[in-house]
Amino acid sequence: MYGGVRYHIEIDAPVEAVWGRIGDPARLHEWFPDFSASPVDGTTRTIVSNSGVSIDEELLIVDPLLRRIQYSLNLPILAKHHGTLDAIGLEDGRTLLMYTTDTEPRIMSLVIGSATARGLREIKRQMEESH
Amino acid sequence: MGRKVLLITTDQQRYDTLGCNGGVYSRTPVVDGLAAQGIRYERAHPQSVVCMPSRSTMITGQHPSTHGVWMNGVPLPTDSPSIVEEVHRAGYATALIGKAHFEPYMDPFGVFAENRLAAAESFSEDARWHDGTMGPLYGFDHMELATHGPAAPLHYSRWLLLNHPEALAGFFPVLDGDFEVSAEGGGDTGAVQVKDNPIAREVYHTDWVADRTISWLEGRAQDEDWFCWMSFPDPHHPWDPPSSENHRVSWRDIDLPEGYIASAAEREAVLSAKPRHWMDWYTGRVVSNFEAPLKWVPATLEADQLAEITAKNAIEVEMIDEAIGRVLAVIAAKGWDDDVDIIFTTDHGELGGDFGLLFKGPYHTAGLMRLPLIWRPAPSAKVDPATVTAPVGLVDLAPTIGQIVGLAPADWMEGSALPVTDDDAASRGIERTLTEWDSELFGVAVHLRTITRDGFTLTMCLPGTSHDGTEGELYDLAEDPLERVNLWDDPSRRSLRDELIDDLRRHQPPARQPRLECVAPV
Repeated sequence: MYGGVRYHIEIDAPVEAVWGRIGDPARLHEWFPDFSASPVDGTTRTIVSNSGVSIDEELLIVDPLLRRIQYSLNLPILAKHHGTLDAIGLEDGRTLLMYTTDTEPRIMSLVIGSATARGLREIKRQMEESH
Repeated sequence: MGRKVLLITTDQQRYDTLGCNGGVYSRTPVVDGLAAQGIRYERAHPQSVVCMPSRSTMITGQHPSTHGVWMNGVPLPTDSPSIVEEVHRAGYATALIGKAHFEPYMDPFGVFAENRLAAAESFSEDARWHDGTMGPLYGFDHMELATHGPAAPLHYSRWLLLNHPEALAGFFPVLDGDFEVSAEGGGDTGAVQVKDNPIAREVYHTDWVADRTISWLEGRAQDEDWFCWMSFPDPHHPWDPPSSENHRVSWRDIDLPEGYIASAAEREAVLSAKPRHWMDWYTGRVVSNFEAPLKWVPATLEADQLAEITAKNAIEVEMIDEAIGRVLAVIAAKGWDDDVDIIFTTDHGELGGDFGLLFKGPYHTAGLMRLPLIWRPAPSAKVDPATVTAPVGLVDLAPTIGQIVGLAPADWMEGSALPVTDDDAASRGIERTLTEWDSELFGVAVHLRTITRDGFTLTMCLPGTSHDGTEGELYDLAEDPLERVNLWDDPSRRSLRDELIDDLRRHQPPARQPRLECVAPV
């Protein structure tokens, strides 16, 4: 069964600045507490967990106009996976950051999505401390 | 030297599974003996009918709206207030042995301390407490953890893997290939979540919890003050006790539970008079929560299957009673008994065939809401045995433990120390309990608020995907203990209904803001 979760966070920083930090897929590990590296080779990103496990992802969308990144995890336990990160500028100069995780089986969306929730909290911390 | 505390909990145990509460399936002489020496509560209610919120209530003394663990999968922040931290600060050794579940089990990134301890061969980890000081996690200086089988990365699983790897495959596999709660059946009848488990009794988690508790107690100095939470994972499903114990209760020889309505037509008529989420689950249209198997339809439950589940459950209850007896014998041998308070309860109940349903979910009915609760005060405190009929809650455990240890009630606690008589309850205004349900998962949202007082239970169904906010339930617990006649729409009960709703709204704590994130299914 396909299903998903979505987390969002508001950041007290302009969307251009937020995108400047998150728009480079190879810098994911800088704001994802669970990962130590995230090199990109073509459309393949390899995320390396803090415990040393490597997982390949296919980058599907990196769109600086929509300010969207979408990718798919290549894991045998996942029949489908889409991770989608959207940055939306708010009228008051702040940013709404939304991270959606859709998977089959759907339960895995919660498990994977929990990492995205921690990533959102970390990017908020970083941006608001530096802004 | 102060009074010591042994808090004994089980998981998902019904009120009517104990002999002292009228239970007929299990022999529970040890807990019955505690009840005879102490205080037996006839209306003890949880503040949530699922594990993580309910267990969070036990140590914080707060309702789920306040501590913020609004459904399973929401971790209790490590800087939440905890009575165990206060007890630790008072100089007590503090242990939790068995099931904790303040944090989710599905944790592939190893984010949660409960899941890190076993791999680190550790029993404690420091965290920041609510007042900013650093101390052991939630106040426990020794956590030795287990759950219903070997699935989670806890101490029991590791012990099994290292010492009895042959036993791993004997347990019921709780998740299916889609990581949903499994609807597989087994045993003699194909009953859901039943499995004949060839595991040796002494290797099963019930005896392991007692063994580890005994080991911890034997490590205490004679004059040391201690608080020990012995937390059995059973009789929560799956129902897979050691097959060697099957002889205790034969499913072929037992009568079906009183709450089961044998006639499908009568059962469905009763369900139809309840808010729509009852019938929606019964027919398999909507499964609103992860705790029940997604692919199991309650309407398919057969009488023999319920009998087999009831028997397996009874076996697990008996094993727990005997395990408690072993621990109490050690306490007596150490010469501590006169100064030990013993509290026995559970985190929530089990539907157990009521209305043809099993497991748990957004159903604030007696099977899930009426809990066994027994407090055997330390004999040195000279408290007379009693039966208390006033409604009390698990929210009252933390202030009770504090009182035993000699601590003043903390301002963050929302309960009251348990009354020792009905007169005591009346004099202190202990007259209601509140229970909450919130779940939002994969497009289904259910929100319930319940009050129990004056012999009635009223549940409001707040707006969600199943309810528009107009539905509810009202039962007269004296006239209709099986809750078969929903008085919510009875015009003659309108003023009572309005009065209870008003009382509920005045006492319901506001929801914590911002809401904590659900980060796992369980």
